[in-house]
Amino acid sequence: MARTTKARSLVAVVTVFVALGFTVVVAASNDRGGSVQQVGVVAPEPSVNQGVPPEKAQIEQAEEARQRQADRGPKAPKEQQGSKPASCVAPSVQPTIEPASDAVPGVRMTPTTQTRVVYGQAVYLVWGGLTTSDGAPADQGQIAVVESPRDACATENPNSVLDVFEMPTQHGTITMVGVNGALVFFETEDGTTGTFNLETKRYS
Amino acid sequence: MLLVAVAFAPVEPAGATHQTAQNISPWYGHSWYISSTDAARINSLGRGDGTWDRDHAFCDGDNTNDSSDKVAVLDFGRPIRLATSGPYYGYGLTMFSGPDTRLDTIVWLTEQYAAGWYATSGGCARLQLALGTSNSYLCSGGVQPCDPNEFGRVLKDAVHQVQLWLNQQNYSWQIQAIAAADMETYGADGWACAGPTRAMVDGFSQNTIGYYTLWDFGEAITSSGCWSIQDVHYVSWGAAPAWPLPEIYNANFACHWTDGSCRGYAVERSVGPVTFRGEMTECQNPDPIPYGPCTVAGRSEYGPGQAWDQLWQRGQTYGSQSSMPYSTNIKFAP
Repeated sequence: MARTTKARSLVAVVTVFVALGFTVVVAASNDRGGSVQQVGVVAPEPSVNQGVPPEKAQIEQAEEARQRQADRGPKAPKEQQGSKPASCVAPSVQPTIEPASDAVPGVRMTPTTQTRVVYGQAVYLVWGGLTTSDGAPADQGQIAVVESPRDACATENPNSVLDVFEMPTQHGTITMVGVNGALVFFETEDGTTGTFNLETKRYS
Repeated sequence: MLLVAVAFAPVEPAGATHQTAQNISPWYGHSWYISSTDAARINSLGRGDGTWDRDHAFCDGDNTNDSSDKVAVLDFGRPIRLATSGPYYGYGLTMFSGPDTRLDTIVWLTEQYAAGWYATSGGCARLQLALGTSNSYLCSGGVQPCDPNEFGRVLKDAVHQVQLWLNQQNYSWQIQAIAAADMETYGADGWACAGPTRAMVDGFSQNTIGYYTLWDFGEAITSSGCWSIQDVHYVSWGAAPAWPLPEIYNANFACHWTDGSCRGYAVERSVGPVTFRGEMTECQNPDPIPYGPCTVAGRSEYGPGQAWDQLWQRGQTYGSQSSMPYSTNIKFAP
């Protein structure tokens, strides 16, 4: 009888906490008495926007309302969304050297020139310029390369790799002046000329 | 002894090493620097990411322990003005080493990604799809005048257009459009100073076409003198639509957003608490990227799990947020 009363009390307490948005964790044992050994009550999760300024909260609430409205609306079927493109091979193009118009994300450098090269089974995004890495010599030229597969649709998750190649000797900033196949021709601030091979990633 | 736990246990996806809880790092998703206008490539990218997010999200059926929040930032490069009239007042994005591209085409490419993602993503994951840009060489070159404030305004127009399309396609229960900007703060290497960057954010705020957020995936290291830590706080949090999704590449990055243990100044320590949406890494490893560290252009950086943990732990010093649901890793798109 006492056990039944205790259990009813627990049900009532749990019901109240659940109604208030609490998560109730109950651990029980059945060794003889079968009594409840532990009841843990976890406070409700505060809203992420707690402490958010009103004008910011207004935008967040509008986004949430838009989401709720969309949840109640129609949902496009998944099976009618077309199939994966079998191939998307990058076409061959004559590379052009252009003045750098973007910073290079992930690389500390001041780029002077940029180009895009399609060669073999790869696409290369290439920047030439001067490193601005901490501790690097002030006249350290470098080339940054992103190499990607030419057919980005051939596999489910094709990878691209960004890497940086400092010139073996310091001659100032690198300016790319031409491309022939995988060879990038450049000149440096002090008039030194050279090539960089996109396949082997070597200067010469 | 029989122990009974009245709780909701999510089903862990195969191969998962991360767990889901408010203080445990979520699975990372993918973000991309986009340099191609090939719709098939972008669609394929979305399909691959939809599969990845499907396999790394889980829902328990009653939303109590879901880990389904994903963000994909498509960074199309920095703003440029290509014409003084036409769609979006002639503004476009430079797409890194790709072609300078009008914003209406950028909108279309974003939609191609969304269509691919939707097709493969199953029913659990929810995606914040960001039309992304940066403050690199902000408005230099191209046609003048190029006004960062005006660009900010048309950026919101473009995001709104993507959202309308998502609504029309009945994708919006699963995908929501947002804006994002890589707002770098060292004022060198071509990255703009605080003035024009703030103007871009203000333009986004001032456009009343709809309610959209602008996520800052930049950094908080201010070394050039043309950014203050107050500026960083403003563009990432102080402005009404701004939310931070900061680059956390190493301890120094995390420190400047949070506790200031590196040089004494930091966004939260010096100005005030912010609510981080999550963090971004830039690991070059193929999936699955390790917890950390990882390799980036020959150097070691935080992996996604490590970055999330660092930001979360350091953020507890001053911040009050109860969850940080997003984690993403950015690369150049193949």
